[in-house]
Amino acid sequence: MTFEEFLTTRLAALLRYATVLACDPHLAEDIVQEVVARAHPRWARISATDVPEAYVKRMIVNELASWRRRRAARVVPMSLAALDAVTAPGADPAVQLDERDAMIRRLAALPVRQRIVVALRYYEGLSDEQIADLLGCRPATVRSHASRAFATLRTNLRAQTPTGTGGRHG
Amino acid sequence: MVDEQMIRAAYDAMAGTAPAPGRVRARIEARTRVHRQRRMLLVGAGALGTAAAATAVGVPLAIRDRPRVQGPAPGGLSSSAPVPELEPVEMPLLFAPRWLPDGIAEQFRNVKIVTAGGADKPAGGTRNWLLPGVRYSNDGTNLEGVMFSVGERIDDNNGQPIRVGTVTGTLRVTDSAYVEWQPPGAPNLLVSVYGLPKATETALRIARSVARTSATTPVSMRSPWVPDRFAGFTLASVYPTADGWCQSLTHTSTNHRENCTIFARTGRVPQDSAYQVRRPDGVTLYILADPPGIISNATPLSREEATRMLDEVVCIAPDLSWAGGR
Repeated sequence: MTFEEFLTTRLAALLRYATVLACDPHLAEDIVQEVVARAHPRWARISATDVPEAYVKRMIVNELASWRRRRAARVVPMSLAALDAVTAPGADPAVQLDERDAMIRRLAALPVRQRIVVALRYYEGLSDEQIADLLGCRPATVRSHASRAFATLRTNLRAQTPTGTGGRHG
Repeated sequence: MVDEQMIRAAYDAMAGTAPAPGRVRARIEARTRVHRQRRMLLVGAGALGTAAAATAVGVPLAIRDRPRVQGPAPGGLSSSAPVPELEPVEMPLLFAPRWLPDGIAEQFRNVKIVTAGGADKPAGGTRNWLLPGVRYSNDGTNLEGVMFSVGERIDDNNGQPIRVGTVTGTLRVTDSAYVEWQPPGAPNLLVSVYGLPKATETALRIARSVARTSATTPVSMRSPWVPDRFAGFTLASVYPTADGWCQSLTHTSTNHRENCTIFARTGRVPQDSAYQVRRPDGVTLYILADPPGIISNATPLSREEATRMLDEVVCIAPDLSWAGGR
């Protein structure tokens, strides 16, 4: 598969993937652009792998982690206007929308490693072993991240206010 | 209790806010153009002083001219003639389309060989049939024609179900049409069509014509020594070029994290090769440089490793009798 073919078929999916991991479409755009531009000169090697997309996704995870280190203090609230643009308000009860938006904020507030683990588990449907391979850590570490993430989500759920606040990349 | 359904709903909503790929792609292509222009400037500098230019971009350089003789020369040939000893290995193609649209001709082949465990086992490969005037290139150019891959897959949940033989496959249509399916007990198969009329119908017809084949393709290049971390499988590629041919071997570890590619070609060699050996028969063996700043888990080849690989690789002119055919 040529680089052009890969972009044609996979760029949209990569942007969705990065948006979910980053909890921020703008950051996702920057990260995907950076990763794809770096992948291009070495596409012959990447395309020789069994699943080039998995390779590029690994690069996105690495880039997100390092990006977070470079811009640790950046605050990126999720855009509710953007959410409304993709979900017709009438299609979902208002209460559920509120709960979902609150969940988005809680997920966005998780530390980056925990956020990545939860996203890979629930959006990508990966096992702990697959996530561990992707992150370059042990499955037990993945379970630890997940456990702490859920503890945080539970705590935040109890302390939740009706309107919530913008998410912070922790 | 955290509601897992709510988490999934949250992620689905987030995914829905993803940026439009068209805009991002335009930005990527603009950035790539700038990068290419910068490289052209560096290449221009290289024409004036190759070593200086290589130093400027931090690329190790080991260009050498030397005779290359593998073993004793056969009778009747001068001992100084480059006569590598290699019996091409025939690798099975496994599957092949029985129908292809008119007006295209085959221009590229690779075969994937599992090398882990000692014995070489075929694991698939890719073939490209292109329109007249379109020459195969792996530089990211979109190629008008047909690609057929054995053992390749697109790992997402997009596309619409489509019937291919006895199984349900997936059809994805963008500016290309992709049909992906997996016959029982066989590797994943993928057909893509770009730049041809009725691409979707053509891709489906090609896919539905695919059958097992006993045909083989010769591999005319071999790396007797490869660093252990690249042991897993090898992708052997070959295609005709404007000035002869190009072959390559990509060695990849089983976990896909480590890989390296060694090329052999006649004619012009890319400027970003880090290590080169020119043979007297006009064949250049080379390994490309990694651009600086890449994100990778791979361990780059050391100078010693690259030199040994180039010293030991064996390559003869490939049998390209399939090129230009169907």
